[in-house]
Amino acid sequence: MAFDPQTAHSIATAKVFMVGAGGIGCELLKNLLLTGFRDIQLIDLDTIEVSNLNRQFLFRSEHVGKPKAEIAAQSGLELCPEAKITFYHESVIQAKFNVKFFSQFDLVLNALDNAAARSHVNRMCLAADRPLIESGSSGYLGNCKAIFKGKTECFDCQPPAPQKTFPGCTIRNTPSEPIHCIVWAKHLFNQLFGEADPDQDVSPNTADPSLLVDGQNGTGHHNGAPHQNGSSPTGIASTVAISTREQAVSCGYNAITLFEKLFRDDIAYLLSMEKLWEKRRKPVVLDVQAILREPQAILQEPQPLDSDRSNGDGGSTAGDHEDKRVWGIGENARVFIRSVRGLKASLEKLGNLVWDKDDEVAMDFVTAVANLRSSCFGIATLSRYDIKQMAGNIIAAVASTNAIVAGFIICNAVQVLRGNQSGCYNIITRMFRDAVPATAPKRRIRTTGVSRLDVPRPGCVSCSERVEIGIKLRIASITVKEFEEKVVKGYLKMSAPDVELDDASGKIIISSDDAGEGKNRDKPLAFFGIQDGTRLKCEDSLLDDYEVTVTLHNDDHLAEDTLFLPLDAHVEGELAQPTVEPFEQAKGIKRKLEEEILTPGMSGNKRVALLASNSDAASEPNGNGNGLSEDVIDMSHRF
Amino acid sequence: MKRGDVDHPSATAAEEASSAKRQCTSGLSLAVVMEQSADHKTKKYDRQLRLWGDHGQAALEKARVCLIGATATGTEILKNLVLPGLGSFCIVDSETVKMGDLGSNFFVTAQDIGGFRAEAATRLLLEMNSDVKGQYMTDTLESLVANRPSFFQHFTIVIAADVPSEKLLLDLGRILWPVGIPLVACRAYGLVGWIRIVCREHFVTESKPDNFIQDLRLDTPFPELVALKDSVDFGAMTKKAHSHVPFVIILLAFLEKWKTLRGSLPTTYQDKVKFREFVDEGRLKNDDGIPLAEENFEEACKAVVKTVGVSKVPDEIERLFRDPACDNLTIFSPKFWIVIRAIRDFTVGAEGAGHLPVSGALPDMFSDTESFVHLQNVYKAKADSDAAAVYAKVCQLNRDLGLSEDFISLSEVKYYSRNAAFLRCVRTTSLEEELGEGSSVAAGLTGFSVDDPDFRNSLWYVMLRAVSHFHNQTGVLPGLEHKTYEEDAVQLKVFAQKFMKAVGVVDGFRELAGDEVVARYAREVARFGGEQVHSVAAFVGGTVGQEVIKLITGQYVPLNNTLVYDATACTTSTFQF
Ligand SMILES: [Zn+2]
Repeated sequence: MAFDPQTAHSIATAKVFMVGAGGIGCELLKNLLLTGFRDIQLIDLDTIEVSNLNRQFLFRSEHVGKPKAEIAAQSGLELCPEAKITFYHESVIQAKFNVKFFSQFDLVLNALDNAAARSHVNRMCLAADRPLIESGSSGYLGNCKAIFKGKTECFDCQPPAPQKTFPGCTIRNTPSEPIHCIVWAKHLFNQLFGEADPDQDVSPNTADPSLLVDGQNGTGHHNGAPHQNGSSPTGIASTVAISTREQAVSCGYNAITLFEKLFRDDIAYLLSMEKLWEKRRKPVVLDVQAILREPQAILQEPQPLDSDRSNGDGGSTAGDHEDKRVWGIGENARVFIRSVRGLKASLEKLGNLVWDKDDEVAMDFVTAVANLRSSCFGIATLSRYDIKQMAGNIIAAVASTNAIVAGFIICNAVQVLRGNQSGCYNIITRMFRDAVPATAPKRRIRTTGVSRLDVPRPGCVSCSERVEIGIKLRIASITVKEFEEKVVKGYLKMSAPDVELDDASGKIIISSDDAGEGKNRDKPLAFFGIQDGTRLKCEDSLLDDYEVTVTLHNDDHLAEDTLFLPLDAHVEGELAQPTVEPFEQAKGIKRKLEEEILTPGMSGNKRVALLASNSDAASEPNGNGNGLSEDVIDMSHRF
Repeated sequence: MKRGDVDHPSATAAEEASSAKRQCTSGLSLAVVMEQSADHKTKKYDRQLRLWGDHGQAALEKARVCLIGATATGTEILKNLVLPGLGSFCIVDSETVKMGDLGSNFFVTAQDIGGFRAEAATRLLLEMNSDVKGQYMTDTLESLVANRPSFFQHFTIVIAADVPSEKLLLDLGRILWPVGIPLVACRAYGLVGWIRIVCREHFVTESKPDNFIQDLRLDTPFPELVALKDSVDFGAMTKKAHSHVPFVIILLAFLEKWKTLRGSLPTTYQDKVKFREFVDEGRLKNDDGIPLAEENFEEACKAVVKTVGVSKVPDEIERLFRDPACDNLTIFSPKFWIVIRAIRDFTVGAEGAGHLPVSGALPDMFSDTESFVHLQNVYKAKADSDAAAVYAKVCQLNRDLGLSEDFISLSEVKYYSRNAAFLRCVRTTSLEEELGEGSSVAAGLTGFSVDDPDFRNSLWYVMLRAVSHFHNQTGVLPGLEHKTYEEDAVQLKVFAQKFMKAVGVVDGFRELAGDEVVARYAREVARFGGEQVHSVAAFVGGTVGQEVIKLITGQYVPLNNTLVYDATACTTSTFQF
């Protein structure tokens, strides 16, 4: 018997909540059932997609389009009819999954793919005082750790790798990299066919700080106000503010008219802002008729780049399938026209569309638009395959890594149920790599990095007893909406926040009842009488007793692209590093591995704790042994 | 079976083995229904294509894997290969499905009890992916090894999961070693996992090392690169153009200036730091003499330490050049060695003048598109002409060896040439060397301290060997019967100690592995009672899955040669036995 009878009993009677039924989730459900767990509730918002089938083995092609949670539960019951499996096909971020709901479980297991839900479940488990096992995978890397309230580091103790965001002016006025044009293309999709977001304006921005006198930082570009279209040199645009959507509707989504607006008139308008081009290369306008007349005619089309530019993990040899070919400008124009027509038809049939990387037409549209815009700005055009990766934030995923991670989750889960907190670890797995130098042929390499769970970080906004934080921002310009999205939801990780002044007035600034629809959201904080030193009380209405007091410090000298800065946070040069989401945690992994060593035997009374610092791994800067952070850095270059 | 059949085996394997094998119906009918469209595959496999590329996928789809043992470990491995679209598999297992299998093996159901385990596993595995073909045999491994050794030669790779007999493994190894087919042996035993890779010679074409320094030939630029650099006149440029010169050109230009001033290139770290300052001073200044922020110059400064003075043949490649297989080409030489020889001849000859062929890859850099494309074209043209020169040598070698001149195609040579710095050859020891007389194991069991996880994992290895000896002697696994648990533990300890003595472990190891320690491990292993823990099988399945994909695709360096996993402490260690 691998498990003693008592452990086996705890496993059989434990009530667990599994959040996520994707790559790790499928492996996990199988592992749970085959380890003896019999009472499982699982939740997943997603439906099954074709690209899941290479690893999510509980699903078959005939299940595409069906809810993951339902099919996973069904497969689980086939495997183990005596088990009790309850499923929810919905978001875990909901009032119905409250603290009371979480309290019923002995253990919560995260198998999620996004930071927002992870952070939310983390909060709920802290509030309900339930142990949580957190996990993630990316390509050949995986990790898994247990979280005990107040005793070990929680999910939010390690600041997440910052999301790569771009200043609005770069996106709207002065793109210089393919990604800028891709982001713009996605925004354009939403403007034309989806839920329009004022933050995603795609028209030229007249409030660009580059238009101001050199060396003087404007703040106006942060106000997100819709652009006044002025009089464009071609005289086509009207003098009143008119949204891109309205223009599209007024021309009946005529693809040629849209092309001319986007790649001729708007570019011409940008050109008229001469200040922008003093130190930059000027964009060129595209002539759609000329492009369509002469398919091979090239205005300023950069030569296709070899798709095999990197030597990193992503470096594949020149692809032989169509997706990896870089389209010519004529092709981009034609795809643009075709996809606009297709999307217009869908819009009429279905109402507002949501951009999806796996929707052929939507992906065609973004590819063509990004490439056409790149052509205007002399930026390299890319293949549909590469654009999909960047636009869809695609993270490579294979069955084997998920299998390993799910194996580790069970190791931690069993220790949790045995009440053996010190038998739980923070585990990182990576593939065995080329790391045997000839000089040391017998060197031992580990494919897993195991460290003890860290203690909670003091001042962590999620797990500290009393939370008081300070934030630097520009009170005169940051809007309520920006404050809610970036600070309260983004940084404080609140799902449905209530924010009020921490003074006698108790004036409400943000109310969860409004669900983001409040009137004054475009007003700056200063509008509410908020000033340097004002304190705000922020509460998450989905959580009991969770409150953070934020003291606002005005700072007009923040870097141009920085909306706010936590006072205790230190800013590093890598702020703009792309995110590798599941591995946010890995960056915090200590080089010094402290290992709790168990003598063989699962019976806890024989435990001997030996703290060994693994100097082999610690002194090795080149990523052998357990130096996993190297890999994380490697990976981030790929996206 | 004739040696020549190895190249077209899947059909012949089926015919030859018809006596004991049933073609699995679901696999057949699905195969007949038709291959799915390439587009569908691209979508289905998108997330992994981004990891190993189309060529990796093509290799996987061509591969034929033999799995011995449809245990929880075995089926987990195949699951991780069938999902991404392995070509075909054949399961060899003579066992019937028992109650015990249901508790740990996902690929058997209650309805299968009493039926062949190989049949159930094949059917359920094939349900996961209609692109994959699968079949099974219910012969015992013993009879196949004894009577039809040629059967195993049909496969790209053979995996032996949870084979309890060392002798059988050894016999299997003796069949595969001479024909160069890799064997992956593995086991999930209680809370311990064990993986052993056996390959006589495995060629890696894309090793993807952790720390890769790109050789841009900055210190020894080729003429075309010099010409491009000379065409750039920093003095006669607009501000805008100046801030868009690719960093490669900046470094080339400043290296030349430096050399003129100092007589030699910067080689020491201190020199490079000074050189970096020298480059930094090249930034344009405004009217007040304050340097402008030029992103390309920043990039150039950052790149100095990693790109200047690194143009040399990597040690790993030098070792390949010195390998006897590179010198002693014959008509039987693998393509790999013929190409390595051609690359060596290129490198030491006039064309390479001490350098490997140029890869043609450039890092991303800040630049205007035009300059970047120019630069890239120069590197690409050089990479193409280098590859062509290597190809000419390959053709000559083929002719000299009496092989057809097009035995190796130009596109193959280009692939090798582009990856010249990433070629590796991995040779593990044979199972004979580890399990046979005069074992090499003791050398791998050195250099531990008592609190070292590697020491604990080495003891698990010793215990697994003892389990095999126990099984060999008694025919059962230790601790299987509850009432003999104590006895079995004592006997297991004796086997472990005998084993350590027989292989001659060093004194240091014997001291660490004292009587009490070994007794404790033996009791723990006896307590496992031969049980398979699913989460351990899942770990071993995932890790073997990764290793098999490496062996099939030639990407990354495979494990050499043993990995031990301790599920209690979640640690892994690798050993060379
Ligand atoms: Zn925390």
